[in-house]
Amino acid sequence: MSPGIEVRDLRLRYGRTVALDGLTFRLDGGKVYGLLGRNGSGKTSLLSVLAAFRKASGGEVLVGGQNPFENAAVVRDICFIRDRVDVSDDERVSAALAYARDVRPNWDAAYADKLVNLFRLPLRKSVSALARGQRSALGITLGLATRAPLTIFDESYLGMDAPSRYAFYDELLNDYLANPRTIIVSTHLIEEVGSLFEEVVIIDEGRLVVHEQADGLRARGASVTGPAADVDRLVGELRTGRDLVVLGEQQLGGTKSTTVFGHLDESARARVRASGLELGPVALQDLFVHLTKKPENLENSR
Amino acid sequence: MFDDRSPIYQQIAEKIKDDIVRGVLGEDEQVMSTNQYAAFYRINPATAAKGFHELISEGVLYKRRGIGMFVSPDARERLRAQRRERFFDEVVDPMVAQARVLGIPLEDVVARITVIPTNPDAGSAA
Amino acid sequence: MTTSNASAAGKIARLLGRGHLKVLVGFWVVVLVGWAGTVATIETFVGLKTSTWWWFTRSAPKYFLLVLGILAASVYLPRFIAYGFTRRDVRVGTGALAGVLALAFGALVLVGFGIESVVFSATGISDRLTDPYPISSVGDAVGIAVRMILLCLVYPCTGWVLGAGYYRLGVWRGSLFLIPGIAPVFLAETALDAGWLASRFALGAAGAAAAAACVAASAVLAHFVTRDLPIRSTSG
Repeated sequence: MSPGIEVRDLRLRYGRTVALDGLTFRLDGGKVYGLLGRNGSGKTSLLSVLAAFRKASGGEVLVGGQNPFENAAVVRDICFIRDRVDVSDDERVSAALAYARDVRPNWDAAYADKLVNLFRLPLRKSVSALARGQRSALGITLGLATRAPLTIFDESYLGMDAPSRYAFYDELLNDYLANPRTIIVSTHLIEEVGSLFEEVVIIDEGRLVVHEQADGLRARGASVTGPAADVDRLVGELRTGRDLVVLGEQQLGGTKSTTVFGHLDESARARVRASGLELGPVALQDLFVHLTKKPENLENSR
Repeated sequence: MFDDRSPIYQQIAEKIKDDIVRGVLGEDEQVMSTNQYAAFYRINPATAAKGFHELISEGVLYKRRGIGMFVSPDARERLRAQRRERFFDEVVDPMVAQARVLGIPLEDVVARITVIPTNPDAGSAA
Repeated sequence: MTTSNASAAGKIARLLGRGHLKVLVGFWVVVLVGWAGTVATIETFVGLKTSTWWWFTRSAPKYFLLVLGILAASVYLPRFIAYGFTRRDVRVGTGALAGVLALAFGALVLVGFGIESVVFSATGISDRLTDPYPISSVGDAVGIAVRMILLCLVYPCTGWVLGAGYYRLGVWRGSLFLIPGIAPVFLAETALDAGWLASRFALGAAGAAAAAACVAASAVLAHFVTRDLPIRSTSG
């Protein structure tokens, strides 16, 4: 039970603001997906539409082959954990968990207990009295123990300290391995979570920038560093006949570093090294920064 | 654990090859499953699987259905032979180039090499 | 693995009912205690000459349900959606609960009158009443029960409409929405009051029918305001 997701020319508008502007992509399901985007890029809007929190203004959205909006059979299997957790403020933590137990068909109470201990959640405290990080930990507990076939975490780690965050990533991975399902993680801490992603979706200004396997995406980024004139010449050579985009350039004195995006085959790599230039990798986070920097990249980065 | 120098799945494959060459993984010994590997190094299982897949297609590992993945009996020897070939290109030549750049005469380099005591644990299978 | 919508709505009704049981019981306990205290005090100092139960039950229950309706739409609905229910199931479930509560409140009001008349006979107050006891016939009982039930339906329904209106439109436009939102309550009250005949609680059939229409109208409003209610981002 790992629903796929299909989105076709999806549009969402709030009054005069266009949040999603013709988004199209397809996720097979059963994987851990990373959803990356700048603030205001439309990430949360997309997730809201997937989880049937909002109705699309136009286009099509399918979860497990069906439109999720007001579709009881589909929404039962979706768990959307947002940055500010949707629980009753006046209740105790134990009550919020009991509520989920009553209502969620796949709830695993034993696993929830384990997570409560792991994150040291104070069961008898009222939710409104929780520290920011504890509230997030509660959200994560709800999200994981619900075992929904489509589980979405939208920056659910806010306020959590680094050890707790890493405990979350470990639990997420382990539970995914034990109970495969479709998981979407939307995050700004790309380098922390990046290794968990099988596929990555990057959106910017409501449109799709990239949807690719994480490893493949990383392999398409490269930095060429060396004497400025050599770098310029070589990058120019590489670009002829290849679909290569220059994402950025940095210069310090006579040394230049140019970041390119595109497939570099073995011969291209050999050329770079033979020219005495340094060919380096580009971290996913840096690729993300470059790809969402200029609007021109939206057309060029396929 | 993994850096950005090359795709993670390649680094995984390299790591396992290193372990085999160093003798940490013996022939016909079972290796961790992809899920165990993924959980241990905190990476996506598909990435781990890709690395293992490479090793299987290179013949370094073999699979026994329903049981797991094992180190091929001749893996160690083949890997050592491959690395021996690459040793001069990847280790010696750059060392010599570096010595030249630093202005170190080659005789000094050779003298230093002959003085280094032979390590009896260096796995020398004459 | 498919649960029918009826059972999802039923689950919602049960959860809300269970969750509010204490508050509901507490409400009626307060009403009862207030009534008993008032009767005792007036009787002691002045000598009671009229029924007092209606003072406590003519307004409080319906406004209490109004508040629950507002909460249901603005607080519980978003939470249920977050836990994987549809808006429709929440509407149906809370509607069913509202129906049950309306019937229960109607019954409790009658029971209260019954207790009061027993207390009055036992203490001799019934001989001193200036007006005849409000409920002197089955018709009276039916009249007041129907009146109570209809109001206990239209008030929470309107509460839902107002709550959803504020949630959806925000403070400014939500306040403008008060005007069409409250209309069914206003009209129902007028229709029921205009149905007065000789006895205080006699109910014109036309009045009751008009009030029932108002209940239906507010239910329709509730449907439209909730149908595609966007669940807001909660951060800020």
